[in-house]
Amino acid sequence: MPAFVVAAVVGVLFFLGYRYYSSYLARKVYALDPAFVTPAHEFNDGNDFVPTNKHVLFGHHFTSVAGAAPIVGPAIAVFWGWGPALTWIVLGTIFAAGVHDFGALAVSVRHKAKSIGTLAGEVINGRARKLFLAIIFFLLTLVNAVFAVVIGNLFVANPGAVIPIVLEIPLAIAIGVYIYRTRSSALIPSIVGVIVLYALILVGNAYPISLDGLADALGVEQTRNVWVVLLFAYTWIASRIPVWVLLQPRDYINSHQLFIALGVIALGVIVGMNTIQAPVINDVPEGSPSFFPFLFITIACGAVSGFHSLVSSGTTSKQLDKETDARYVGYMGAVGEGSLATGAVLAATAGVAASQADWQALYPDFATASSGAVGNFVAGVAQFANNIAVPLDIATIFAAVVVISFAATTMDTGVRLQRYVVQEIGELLNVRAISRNLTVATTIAVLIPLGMALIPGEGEAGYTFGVLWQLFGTTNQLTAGLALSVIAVWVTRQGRNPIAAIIPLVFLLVMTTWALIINLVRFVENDQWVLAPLDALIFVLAVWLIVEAALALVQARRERPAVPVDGTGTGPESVVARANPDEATSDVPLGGADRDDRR
Amino acid sequence: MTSRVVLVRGPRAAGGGGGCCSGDVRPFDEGGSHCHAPRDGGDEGVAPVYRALRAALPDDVAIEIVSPSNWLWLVPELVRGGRRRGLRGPALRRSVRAGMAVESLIVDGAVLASGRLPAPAAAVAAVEAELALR
Repeated sequence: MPAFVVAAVVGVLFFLGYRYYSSYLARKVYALDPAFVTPAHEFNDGNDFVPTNKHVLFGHHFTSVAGAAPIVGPAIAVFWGWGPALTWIVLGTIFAAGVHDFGALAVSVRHKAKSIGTLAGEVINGRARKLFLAIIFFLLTLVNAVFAVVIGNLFVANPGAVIPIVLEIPLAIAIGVYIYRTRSSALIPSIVGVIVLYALILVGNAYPISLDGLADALGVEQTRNVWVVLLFAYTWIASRIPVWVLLQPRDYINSHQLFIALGVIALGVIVGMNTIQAPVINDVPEGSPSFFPFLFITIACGAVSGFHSLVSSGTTSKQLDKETDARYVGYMGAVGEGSLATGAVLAATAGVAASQADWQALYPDFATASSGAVGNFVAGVAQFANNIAVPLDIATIFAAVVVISFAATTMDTGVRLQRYVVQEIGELLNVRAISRNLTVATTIAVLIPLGMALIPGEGEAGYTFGVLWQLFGTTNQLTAGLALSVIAVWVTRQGRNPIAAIIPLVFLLVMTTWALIINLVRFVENDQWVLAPLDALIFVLAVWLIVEAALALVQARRERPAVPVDGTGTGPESVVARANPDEATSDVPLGGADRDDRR
Repeated sequence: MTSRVVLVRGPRAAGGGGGCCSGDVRPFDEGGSHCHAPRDGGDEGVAPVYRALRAALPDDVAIEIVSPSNWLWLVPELVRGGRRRGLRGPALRRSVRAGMAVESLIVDGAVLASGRLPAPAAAVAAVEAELALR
């Protein structure tokens, strides 16, 4: 099957999903009202709350959600064949991610642009807020651990990428300082930054840096672990400095790299006419994890990602000009992420191998597939770049640099966010040493994922990366589950049909708990006494979430109005609300069908 | 065509993101743990100019605040606006480069300030004068 045909079909399906399903969501489920006064207008301060053109806002939203995670999961998941992986990406994007990202934005807008953590407490109950805090804590721990491992593996496999990635740090800082000092455009310096970064690939290729010697001297078995420690030492510092020093200018560079990578994949697929070499459904060896349920937690970002609800409800909702723009910004953001995941599938099935035998050699069993997945994506993208005349060795480092840049930015932000969460927990427990002391909070935020990344595990080569990735997937899907619960409860209270949110919610919770139980049994059988308790804890959170969601939905059904709350802006209560502007700005409690629907 | 005023944020404005799980994310609203770094000297960035313009200009004039990294939207906007005003070649390139600078003030593609925003009152006067020409 030619890769470009698959890409075209997926593109058409995404278009149909946006055209019809998001339209249904907008009209019947979220009942978007063009006359609704959004928080951007209601609290307009020219700072956080600013009514923003939907195309401008989409740019912000998409670059905030797109990154390394939708690359890693699909590159592992093609182990089960490209058919299941792509089916989940397409269906997940259209029926789960679209509902989730769009819904989180819509609900947040109806509740003064409050973030999903706060909404969980207000729409469901106070316990749900604590549950959210716990899920987010584990999610961030695993995000930081898996990306440290991803980067460590890539540095070991591509020593030529070390120089460009390390020098990207002073390069980004220099760009930030230059823009600040000269007050000039961010575009030209960041383009120059990308050019310098790619020129450094040539330097890196000429002078590859390996830490094997250092690892031997330290008595560390795996060189990757030395990188992991160095990476966490770096993120400890990076997460302490203001965002505009490093994170923001590096994002300028990354935003170019995102589109360059997407362009290279698209062009390479068209020019090279690569054929997918992986089987549609792979006959996996006995003892491998089955694609039910593991596929659905292996591909988290790219099909549905709870983290997007944080972006949707965190900043995007504060800038939505018209409520009806939520459809374009939220749903299309999910489609963009699904497109990136599709590119990852194509790279790991069409770009990486010239024959089915070659591909089978890369994906012989789950452990090999998961540990080599990112490398396979890199090799695939390198092949696509080679199709458009980039020398293969340079193209390989280019692809590695793209992935590492995204992953490193994710780690920077992940550790920073984890620090906030640790401080929140400190406040909740009334431990001022944690809630008020940045150094202590950051150290905790770094040490826990560092420990996770270094834990020994199955086999001689250490634990199976796929296991850690799946644990990340489960927590990410639980975050999505919590957001979908909030969405479903809110939709029910409006007297509208919540089935569009409930189906993905139930599906995600079933797959997640099923996977957690299977893994728990396996960890106990294999004496994995680090992973087993962690899995058990996440399982407890999953059960807790199921109970809270069910209780909240039952309660919401009891409270729902006999007639759906009008969302057209033309119903009688719209007139009443417009005639009572005090009501539109009052700080009313949440939850009632007719209390939070202010126009 | 309704007029559009664009304000480009400063180089140290919070926000912007790249990479999944990135961006300006706040898990909670009421917690005191997520604080942005204070701006230099209590400078509020583009906010005072924005508020002054919003108060002074009619509702049908759109005012956008854009991150300097959002080149995907800014470049076409500046090119379209410049071409509408008859700019071509080097003049258009200069106009686009000026408009892309941090803390710029743009009215329908015409760059009124580049690299440093004027005081709110001066910005309002400049924009009103520009709009009066149309």
